[in-house]
Amino acid sequence: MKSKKLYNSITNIREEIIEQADNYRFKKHNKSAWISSLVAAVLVFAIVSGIIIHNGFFVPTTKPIQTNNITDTEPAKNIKETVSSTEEDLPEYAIACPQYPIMAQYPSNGSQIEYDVWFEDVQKQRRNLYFTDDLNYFFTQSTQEFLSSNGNENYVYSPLNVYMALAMLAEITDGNSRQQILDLLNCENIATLRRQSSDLWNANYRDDGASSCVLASSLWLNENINYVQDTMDILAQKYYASSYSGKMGSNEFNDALHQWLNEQTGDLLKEQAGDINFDPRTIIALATTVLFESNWTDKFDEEKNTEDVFHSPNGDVDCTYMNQSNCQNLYYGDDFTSICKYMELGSMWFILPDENISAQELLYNEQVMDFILKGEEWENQKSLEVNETIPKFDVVSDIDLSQGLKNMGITDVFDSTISDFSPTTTDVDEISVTKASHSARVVIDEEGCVATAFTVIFATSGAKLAEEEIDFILNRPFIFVIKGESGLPLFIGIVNTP
Amino acid sequence: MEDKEIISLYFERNEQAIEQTDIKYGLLCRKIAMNILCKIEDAQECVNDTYLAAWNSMPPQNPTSLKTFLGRITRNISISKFRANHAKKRYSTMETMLSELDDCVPDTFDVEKQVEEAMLSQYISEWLDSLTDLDRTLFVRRYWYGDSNKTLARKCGFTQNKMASYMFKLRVALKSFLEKEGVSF
Repeated sequence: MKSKKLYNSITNIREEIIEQADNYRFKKHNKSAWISSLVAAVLVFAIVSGIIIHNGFFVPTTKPIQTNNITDTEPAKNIKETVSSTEEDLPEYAIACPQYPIMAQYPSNGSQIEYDVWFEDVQKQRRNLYFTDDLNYFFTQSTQEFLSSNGNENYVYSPLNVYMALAMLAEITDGNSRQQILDLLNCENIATLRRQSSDLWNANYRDDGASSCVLASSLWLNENINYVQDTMDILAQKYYASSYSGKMGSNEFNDALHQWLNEQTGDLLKEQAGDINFDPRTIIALATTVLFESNWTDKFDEEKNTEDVFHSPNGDVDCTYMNQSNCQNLYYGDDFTSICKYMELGSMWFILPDENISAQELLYNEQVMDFILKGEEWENQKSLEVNETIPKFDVVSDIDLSQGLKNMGITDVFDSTISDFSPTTTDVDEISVTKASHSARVVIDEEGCVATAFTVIFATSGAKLAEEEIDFILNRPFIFVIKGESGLPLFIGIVNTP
Repeated sequence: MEDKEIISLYFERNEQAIEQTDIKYGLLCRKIAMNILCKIEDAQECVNDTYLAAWNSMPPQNPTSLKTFLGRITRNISISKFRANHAKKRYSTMETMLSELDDCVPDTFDVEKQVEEAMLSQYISEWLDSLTDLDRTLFVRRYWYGDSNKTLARKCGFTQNKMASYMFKLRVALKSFLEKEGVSF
């Protein structure tokens, strides 16, 4: 390959040129303005997912059972000294806690040394996600399943958040219950799933004071059951999940759950979190969250905002639009056009369906799903002067995952007569998932984006591109995708009404 | 420790040489390797191999710039590892960098057959000499040190879009220079 020959030739350019480049002092333009803007506004993206698992009666003891029944456990990850503990969270209930990496703060004073330290920490989080193609199956299937409603509401879904919830559900189940989840996640066995979950968590993790992307997980156990400590330890090591034990149905334990959810979602889903309560029959509950905050690299100027109409399926609504012109790539396919807005962490993609296509329909277009996963590698793109007109929006959605999971082949965990939760407890028979819900919220403004989501799972007993300049106006329903540092979709949503 | 002192340790076969090299240039080597391989374990392996190669080559070699000497070894080892382990999407950062460099190679030019890499290095050095300090630095930091466009954009205070466009213009300029110098026939 010619470029590789060129690479070798560049390796051998004159020494003084290499030295000069290393010693060159860049003039930083507007750095301080960028830092201060982080305080002013961010893009936040929040999702919470949860699963609640119940059975019909209680058993008496509260101590963990130490077992060796998990034979394919990999050695615990060698977490270096540079980690922080989350043990201080809800200490009265905690039975296992993960340790998060400590990340150097992004330097606010332009110090090269501090920058190098920060950069090295960022590099440490990078992972070789060789299994991306395997994930694409789940991302495509689940996005189509959960965003397929024909309603006119807004929809937000975090594939990565639900992936982590399902991975944990696979970890606390066995037999066919586990196998059905592994099949959906396109994963060969539980050891591979552990490795992949850990890599995904790390590849997306960022908490450097300037941007953040944190995937948090927790397991909530009925204090009246014996639980398998080995499983709790694996959840902490591989899924960075905390485990708590308490009195199901009590106000105190419900408050603890709400506190955890609100902390992990930056209080952006307080109303939704307040509706999640344990039943006295709840045996196990899983909760996973993602909180993403970042600024645009190229912020919008509020003075250029305009007021205009957005053509919602529910009727025209007034809306504030942010405007900006940039020479940038316009991506296109048979039924859509798209642009990418870069953020300090990751990117946000806006996909506008052609006028005769609805956003929901577009998600069933294989080309679009392929585009969402490929992003910058998409072959149909052109560099143009793009006049962007993007509505400010704050969208929230709640999705009941149960039927969708069943449609995708996860059925055993919903049936107490055949489900297998033995890796978690052998005290209680006939446990089944009784609730699986997902809430998410995304807010964007001139400065950036904030997004969050949670999943809770409970179990109980019993293109026209000839011009060099184009107007890209999102004044009708559109799809958005937020990608994190790993390049994988953190959030996918449909805005029907900004 | 000064470079000369570190090099002396190599010549004395003193193992402190490796330790001092790691203290002074470990971060640089890891950054270069990471920019190519995107995987901390592989990058660390390349850095370790770099130290071994340095140990084996000094003496007889006595580099004038230890930094450049080590950087070149790291680049060579990292690209070898990249090629050995290469699989689709495994090292997307490197793929992107190589794909961008394709812009600089004239269509009719077969580097391997017609010009030795050393001669091409000379041409590129000459072209870099003709650039402004900023342009030269950006090109070398992108294609020698392997810094990402995002990192460079941050350092300059540019947007990522602007940096991508800037680098594209530099690549086109190099291509034009190579054609003008007879690399294209």
